[in-house]
Amino acid sequence: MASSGKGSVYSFVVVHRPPFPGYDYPLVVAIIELEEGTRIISNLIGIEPEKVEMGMPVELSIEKVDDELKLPLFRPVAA
Amino acid sequence: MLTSIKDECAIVGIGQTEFSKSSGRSELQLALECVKAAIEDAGLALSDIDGMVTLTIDGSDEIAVARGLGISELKFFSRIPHGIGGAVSLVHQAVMAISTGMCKAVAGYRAMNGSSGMQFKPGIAGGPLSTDQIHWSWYTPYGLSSAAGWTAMFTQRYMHEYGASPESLAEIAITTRKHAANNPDALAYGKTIDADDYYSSPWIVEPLRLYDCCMEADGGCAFVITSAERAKDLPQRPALVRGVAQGAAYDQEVMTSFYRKDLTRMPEYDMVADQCYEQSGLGAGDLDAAILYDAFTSAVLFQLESFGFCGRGEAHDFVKGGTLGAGGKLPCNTNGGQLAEAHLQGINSINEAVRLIRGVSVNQPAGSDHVLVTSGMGVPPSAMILGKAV
Repeated sequence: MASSGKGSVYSFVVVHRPPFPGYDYPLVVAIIELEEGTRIISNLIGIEPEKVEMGMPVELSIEKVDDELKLPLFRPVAA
Repeated sequence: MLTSIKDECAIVGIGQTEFSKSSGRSELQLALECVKAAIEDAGLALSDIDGMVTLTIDGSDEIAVARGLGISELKFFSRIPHGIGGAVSLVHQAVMAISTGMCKAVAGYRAMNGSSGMQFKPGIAGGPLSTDQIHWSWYTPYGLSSAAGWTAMFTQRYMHEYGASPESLAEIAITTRKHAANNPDALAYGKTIDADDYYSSPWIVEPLRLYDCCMEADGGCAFVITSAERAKDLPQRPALVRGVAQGAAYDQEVMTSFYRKDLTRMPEYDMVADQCYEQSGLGAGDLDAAILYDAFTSAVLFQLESFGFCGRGEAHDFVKGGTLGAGGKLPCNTNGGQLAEAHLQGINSINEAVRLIRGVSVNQPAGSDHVLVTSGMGVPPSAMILGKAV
């Protein structure tokens, strides 16, 4: 089944400690409930941590991490 | 055929090392010290011990402990997986072995340099490929790799659905540290905190602050368990095992069961609660004190609901107003818990529950006839109810 890449925030956390190299903190990690009914865990980008809300609509954004790695991240759906 | 384990076995000895941030000696040395202390406390000879149990992640093999102490023959030895869920499972194993006649007296132990040696705080990266590593591999690329982070995910959903405020977490943190402050063995001995301390402590993983998290420690604890019949002739007041259980529920991962429909509850806790109550014939109202696994404050909320001390979604209100204090409605983690006595993956919980049954806790409530002990959160947990001999 193909995913639309659209979903909503089921739960989220803001990671502060302990820090690992290669990440920017504070780091938002969310459980995204996809439209198709399954869930995926990913980062929310393009939003300040304090503005993240439960249930907010988000959409997939494939982001290049380095020359070898791309990850499926999520952004808030533009209002 | 044996049809019930209720009151078949009793914990007759407990032992422990000091708890510290740096023990200065090997984990095997810690294991030897605490097992020896437990056997002496039980009034047994080394030659009486014919079984041993520990966790799969413990570095000291049963045969190494036996050899180090001079215990000659072991007829029973087994290991429990999933780390923090296993402490009370050690009793579960021992009860089955003793009550079926496979052996006569079992020493259970967990000894670790969890502060000066391998810490669990940084989370999971690398290591040999296991099924745990495979499911964690879906989370670690996004920086969600610590137990605090995994627990925070459930905590956030719980707080959202039930309108729980940080006040309930603060209450647990402050009450538990009050217990530890009174306990000379605790890492946080002499150190109470107030609400200002709590709210000014740094975030670890929101919604969890520093004071929501346990204190990593070096140390070891052990217990000795034998038949209730044998216990009658031993010096200590026996802590009878009324019920003891393990549980792994549907769609279980190790701390990251994120695909279940409802993340505000942990069905594996329900499983161990139901089994303990069925075996013992007791209910929540019969329990005088509880040692609930508290690597993080919010773990207590989930357990209070699964064990029926309050309704679903009510634990965050239930804990307010001193409920969990030594003089409260449900004295809880009277040793200071994992939060403030020491994080030893729950093995120290067993020792404190036995002290409560003996009436010798540093924060002893009146009339502790039945004490609940749990271990684990998010992992397959275990639980037992200890009781006094009638």
